[in-house]
Amino acid sequence: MRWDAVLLAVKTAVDADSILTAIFPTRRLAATDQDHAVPSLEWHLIADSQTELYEPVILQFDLFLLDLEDLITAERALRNIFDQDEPVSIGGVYTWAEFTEGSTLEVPDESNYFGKGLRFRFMPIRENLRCGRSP
Amino acid sequence: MIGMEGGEWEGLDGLGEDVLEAMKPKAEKVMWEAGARFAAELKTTLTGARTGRSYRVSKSGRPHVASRPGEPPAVLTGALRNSMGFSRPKWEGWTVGIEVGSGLGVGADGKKREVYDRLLEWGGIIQHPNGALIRILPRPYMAPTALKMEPIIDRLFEAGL
Repeated sequence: MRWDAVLLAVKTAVDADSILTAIFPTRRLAATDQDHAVPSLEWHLIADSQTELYEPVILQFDLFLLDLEDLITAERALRNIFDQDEPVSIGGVYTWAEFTEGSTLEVPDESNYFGKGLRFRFMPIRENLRCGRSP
Repeated sequence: MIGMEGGEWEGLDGLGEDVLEAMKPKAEKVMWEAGARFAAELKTTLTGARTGRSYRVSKSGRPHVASRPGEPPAVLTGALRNSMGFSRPKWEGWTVGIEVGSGLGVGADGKKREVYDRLLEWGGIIQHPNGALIRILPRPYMAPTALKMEPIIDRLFEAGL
């Protein structure tokens, strides 16, 4: 299985990005309903699967911000890391990575409070095809 | 008639379009089947036991086990599951597409359904009547079903066309 490696790789990549760390003091894997912080960046595993060659993983990033400019900057930064034309090494995992879709999120004050969900598909090579080689 | 005149092929201009026109009924048939299977799989995704909190439903009094974050939504009234359906195939030029999802089946009731369904699929933050903010994590049903259906639909197209 590769979804675990992708989750850890994403954390490494996000924590290494200066734009994201400047905008989001809170960055975490969201596993349960928990206290909400603004601004914050959270991500979740949405689905994982297996094909002949790859183990596709879909992650959703949730961005909660008070400033529209920050939202635009943050989304652009995430897409720069996780939307690529060729396979790349992300946080040490070699994978295809592409943006699939985005959606506004329900938030309590739509005029002053932004919530955006972004989904990315990662395609690392299947576990049993790695043959002990590089991730 | 196809022939060669002055070094250029003639009569080929409409040939591609004739071939595509002949394939249209077959493409639509494959899309119908893909849509039906996808909608059926969505209903399957939205069926079954969940592992979240259990609470009493006030009107019926029976306990309801909710979904955990990351699980598809649990069934309470069946409204979301019943609202799953698919559209007729639609053509844009030579590309045919079909929509699958909530609001396309029986019992679809418009905007309110759309907001609720998006909240389940993507999560968000809602405000309780007492003013507290409640973080709702995603309970995705579309994305996991789409990932599961991809190879099946690929095979449908390969076999059908």
